Amino acid sequence: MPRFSLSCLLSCFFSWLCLSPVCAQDTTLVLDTAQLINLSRLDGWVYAPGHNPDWAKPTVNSGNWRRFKPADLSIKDADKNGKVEGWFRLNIRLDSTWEGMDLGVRNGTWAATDVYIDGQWVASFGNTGINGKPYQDHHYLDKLPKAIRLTTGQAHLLAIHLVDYVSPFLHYPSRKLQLEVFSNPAQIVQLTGPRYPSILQDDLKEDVGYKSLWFGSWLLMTICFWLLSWLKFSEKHSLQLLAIGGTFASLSSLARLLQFGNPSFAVLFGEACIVGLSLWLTTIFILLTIMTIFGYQPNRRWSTLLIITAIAGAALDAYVGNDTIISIANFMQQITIIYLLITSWKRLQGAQWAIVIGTLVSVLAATAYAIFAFANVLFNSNLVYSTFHIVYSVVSLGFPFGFLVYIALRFREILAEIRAKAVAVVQITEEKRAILAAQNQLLEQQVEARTAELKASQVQLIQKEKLASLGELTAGIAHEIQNPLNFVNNFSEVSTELVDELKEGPFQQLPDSEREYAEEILGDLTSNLKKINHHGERASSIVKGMLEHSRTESGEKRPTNLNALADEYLKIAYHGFRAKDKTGFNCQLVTDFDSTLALIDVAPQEIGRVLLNLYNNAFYAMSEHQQAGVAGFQPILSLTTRLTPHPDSSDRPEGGLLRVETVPPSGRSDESGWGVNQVEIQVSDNGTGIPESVKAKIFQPFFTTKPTGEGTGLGLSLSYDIITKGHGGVLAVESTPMQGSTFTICLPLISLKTTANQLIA
Amino acid sequence: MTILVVDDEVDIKELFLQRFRREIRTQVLQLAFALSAQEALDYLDKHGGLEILILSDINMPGMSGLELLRRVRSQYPLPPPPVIMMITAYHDSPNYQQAMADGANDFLGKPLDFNLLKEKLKPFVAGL
Repeated sequence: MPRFSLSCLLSCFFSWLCLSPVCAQDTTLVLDTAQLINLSRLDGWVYAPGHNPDWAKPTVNSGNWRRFKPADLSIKDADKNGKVEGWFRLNIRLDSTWEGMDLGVRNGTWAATDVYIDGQWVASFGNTGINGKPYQDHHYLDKLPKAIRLTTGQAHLLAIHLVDYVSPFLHYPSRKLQLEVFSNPAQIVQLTGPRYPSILQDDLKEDVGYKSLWFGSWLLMTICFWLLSWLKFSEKHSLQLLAIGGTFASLSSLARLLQFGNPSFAVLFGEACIVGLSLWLTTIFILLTIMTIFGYQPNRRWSTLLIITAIAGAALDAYVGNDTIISIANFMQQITIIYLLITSWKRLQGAQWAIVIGTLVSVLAATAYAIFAFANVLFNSNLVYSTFHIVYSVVSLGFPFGFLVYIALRFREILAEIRAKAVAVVQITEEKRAILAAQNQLLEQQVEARTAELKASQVQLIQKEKLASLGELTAGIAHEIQNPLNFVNNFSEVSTELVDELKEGPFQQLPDSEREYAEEILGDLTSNLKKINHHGERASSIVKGMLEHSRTESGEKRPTNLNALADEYLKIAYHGFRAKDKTGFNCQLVTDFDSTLALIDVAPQEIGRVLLNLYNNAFYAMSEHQQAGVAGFQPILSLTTRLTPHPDSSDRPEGGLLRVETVPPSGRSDESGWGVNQVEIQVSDNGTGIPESVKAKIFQPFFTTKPTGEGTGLGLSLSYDIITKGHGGVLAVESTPMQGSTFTICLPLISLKTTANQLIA
Repeated sequence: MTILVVDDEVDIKELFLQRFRREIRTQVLQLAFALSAQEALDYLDKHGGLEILILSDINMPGMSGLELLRRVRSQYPLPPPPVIMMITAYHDSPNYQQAMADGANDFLGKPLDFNLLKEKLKPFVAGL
């Protein structure tokens, strides 16, 4: 009975050894390990078709009955209504070895039978319809035997009344008797030993247990697969395929449990169909799963074809019921799986080995199963029933467990991957943050620098604006002040003349007593007038100096040898200063002229004035320093001219008012070639230097550090205008108090008309 | 020869009178004064035909010296045209060029150098 289902499983699943474990039992009258003898196989049976209640009696002669054993019953024995009814009779005698044994009789088929011993009724299986009740087939599954008593050494007449019908289902090429389906005519009459009931019950328990186990395992795994695929796990596709396969496997496992609820023929038939189809589909989906995992990616058409093949196979299975064909089909499936394994062997990696192992376990177990079954048949070894269960469990669950291991391993791999990625992401984020921070810092620094530059240029702009308005104002004042100065100077002068006239004329008429006093007064008057005239003239010269500012643009430019100009004015300034100086000032003059300097378009007198201013200031500063009594002080004025690369326009000092500039590294030219060079004239002294507080103001008009009367405070202001406005250059100062100052005039060649190429060359 | 001094400054009269005291006393020249350009034009209207040399300021309220120069040049075109010298505190290049372009005979700055002025007057004033 349980072997029916096993046979079904086996035939559906594998077994290329093509064995049906629906094995015949031994043919000797020795109780086997299963405590069962199929009496139907024995020779000596006689048969009479039809029905007569008396045929049970020993008195009825059966000499004219046909020699026919129940195991040979077939569709041929059915009448035209599909009914088989007849009587079998057999004489049996048990020897002394059977003494004291509790024996039983059993019907292991769907046929309804009544059993008589020595004319006495002993048991009914199903209902043959003799007692007025309708025919009822025998639900033989798991039915316990009926106890009988047989006297050893004594012959007994065993009579069987059998009624059976042709199976109502069309599932074989030729129709069959019901007893031929899922059962065997050899099992019509079975003699059971004393331990048979307990064996049967143990087997039943085991069967239920294993089938529940398969169902439970498959169900849990299927749920697990569905959940995993629902979780959008990376192996989603193969998971879905396996989940579908698992669903079918669960369905077949569930179907197998049906017979325990209702062991009728119809239920068993339905169960067989469901199990067959499900197992075919399970196999196909497992195949598809393996293909997917191994990277074959079966397309829709192939998948559909395979599924249709499975359904056709299942139908064929149910229809043909031929183990050979089914086994060939199963064999092909297994070959395919092994082919897949072999061809993918080299590409396999990591977790896929779990699949390989699981599949191999299943396949090997199937082989083992077939071998066991084969051995059981071939050598009548009667292997323990549970062995089949265990092996089949391995067959059935090997692959899905392998797959679960695979999933677990994949999870581990994916988690490791994710962890690695997360670490990488964190690292990258960290790096980016560091870069960002660095950039921010740089940006901040740049912003600060720019802000500082802006502020500086703003200050310069304000200063320039102030200077401009101040310039206009001073120009206006200067002009206007000349009107009153006109009167001051001229009236004082004319008054002097008047006093002179007075002295020559009316003065002579005065008496001598008054004359001395009057002469004194006139002398004072003349002196005062001269003083007024002198200061008026002084004011005039200041005003003239101021008005020079408005004339800075007017200087005419012509090609000039700057070296010669600078040298000439240096000598003039030095001699001039020494002539005025009363302290015996002596200075060392160091000149370094760039001999490559060609003629340059400048207003020579204007530049000369600027140079004169710078020289005079330098001499003054050194003279002051010397007078301060610094020991071993030797005044040195150094004059340098050179051609330097023009600083980038954005770096170009706009005003030079606050600018402290170092000399750019010397270079001949720039590749771009258009007016990139500038001429630099540097005047350095080692005098008193300029304090930082003063530096900002030195280019302002009227700013002077000289004592009153010695300077107008317009020299540098004027120079600044000449260089920046008149020539588009830069006048910069660099100074260290008590160490000296350096004034640098930068004249860009771009604004000059001289040929730049000539200069660069 | 009459020298017409045009200037809005009142004190200019005193200065010129004192400066040219000798020349006035010796009748080498006569001085006339106008406190504005308009006054100067009125004077010319009244005394047209006499020998007049004009010394004019430029910056004056009302009509400027340059306007006066232009009017005189346009109203008295017949030869010999009146000699006109501009005397201004704004003796810068644009003013000088403008004055000369408008027909001034000469251009002098303030504070006025009378010795220089006398030198410049010599060609026009006999006996100076």
